[in-house]
Amino acid sequence: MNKTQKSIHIIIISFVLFNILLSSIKLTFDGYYGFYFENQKVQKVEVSNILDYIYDTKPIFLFRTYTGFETGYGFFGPNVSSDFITVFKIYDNNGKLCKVLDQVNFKSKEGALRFTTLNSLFLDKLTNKENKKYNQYLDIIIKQISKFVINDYPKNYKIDTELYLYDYPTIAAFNKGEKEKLILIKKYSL
Amino acid sequence: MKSILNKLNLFFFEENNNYVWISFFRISIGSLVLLHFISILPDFNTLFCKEGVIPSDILDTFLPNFVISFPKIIDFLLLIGISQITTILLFKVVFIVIALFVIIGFIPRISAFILLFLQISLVKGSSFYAYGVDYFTSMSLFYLILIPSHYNFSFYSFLKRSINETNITPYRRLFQLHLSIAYFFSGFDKALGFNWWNGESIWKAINLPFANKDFNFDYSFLANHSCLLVIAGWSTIVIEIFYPVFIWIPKFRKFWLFLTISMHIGIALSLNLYIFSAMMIIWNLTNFHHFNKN
Repeated sequence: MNKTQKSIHIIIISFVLFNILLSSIKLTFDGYYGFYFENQKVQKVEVSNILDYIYDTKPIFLFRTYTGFETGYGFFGPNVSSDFITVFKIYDNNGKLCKVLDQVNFKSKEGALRFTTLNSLFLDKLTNKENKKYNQYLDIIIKQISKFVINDYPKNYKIDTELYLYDYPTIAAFNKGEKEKLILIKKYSL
Repeated sequence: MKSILNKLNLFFFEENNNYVWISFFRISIGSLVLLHFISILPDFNTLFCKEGVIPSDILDTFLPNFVISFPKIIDFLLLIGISQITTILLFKVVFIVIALFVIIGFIPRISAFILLFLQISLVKGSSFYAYGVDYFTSMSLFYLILIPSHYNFSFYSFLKRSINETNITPYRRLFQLHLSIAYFFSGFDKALGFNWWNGESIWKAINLPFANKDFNFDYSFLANHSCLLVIAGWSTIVIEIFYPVFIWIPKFRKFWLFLTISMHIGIALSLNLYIFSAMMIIWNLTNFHHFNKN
């Protein structure tokens, strides 16, 4: 391997390693502030702000978007996020409840699993309440899902979609006999 | 200073003509990507197409203009008279054929490049449905573009064509460092959350509504023996955070590899994240299992 080849290898390796470390550290900061200072206006450390800036510069953005290096690695860290359940209640033309679904009908397990990742969006309905436009956007998404579900039924059927926070008891609460609770976040009617 | 530079030089550039690890990576990633794609085919239109469960114009709201998504490809081809149905069919066929090219090692770097483009266009067009395995798939394909992988078990070696050998140690080291950094941050991020120390995070994870659907394990006994949950939480942190230490010590390598792979098998069984777990096992074996050249 000649010197030029070696230099090219070093540049590529340094650039990729830089991106790996950038995403890892930036998303660690995000996870930390998101978990401990949720809904609080807290001044982030300067390093975190610098990393945010670099992370969003166009060359870095392009590279990480087209290679998957945008991911962080703190799976389920620092906390396992709350999950959500969407319940679809379908009513016939007499207003009689005829079907209750707790998920969109998918033909494959992978399809259903993939669709559950959408639930993480709804966490913003709780943590990002002041962003009205984004909340409206989330409402549109839920309404679209409802439309998709009701399309399988006759035209004059109606649907109520209820978004619930899935609250599983802590270990101590479970030992006291508590069961999982569904806390209604919002109800949509079409 | 000079001896440090020499060591670094040796670490990154020492010649090694054992290429089995990268062939293993190419075949296993190609197979996993293909399997993953086939597993989603029954719901392909529902998730990825313009009139899916969430229409693409809503999904695309926050997508920058320069990112090419599958719905954008459909729109572009409509302009030149190719219908959506034809594009969808073509996309599926090309994806499967190119994944097969990767597996058999036929123009593997170009095939990996095309496959990465197709995969990214799918994931970016429906980014709300993306999860960990999608990012790891993209990164895997990136490594297959970066590293020549056709030396063994490929179309070319089958034809016994002479192949110019290059030193791929620098990229093996990059890949190994990547995995070490990934595990360190995975453990570090968990260690930042107090719920990982008291067992609550493990308890919450195994009781998530999407988890444990296949085997329906009854975990209620764990609430009475919460020390087991605490041990599981601490073990996860220890395995991950000390991965970059013990995986590099030859004496402990096999043991740490065993612990890490066991952890991923546990994740596969309890959370039903099979593809993701398989991906991580492939990354571990590729980087730290010793493949015999013969």
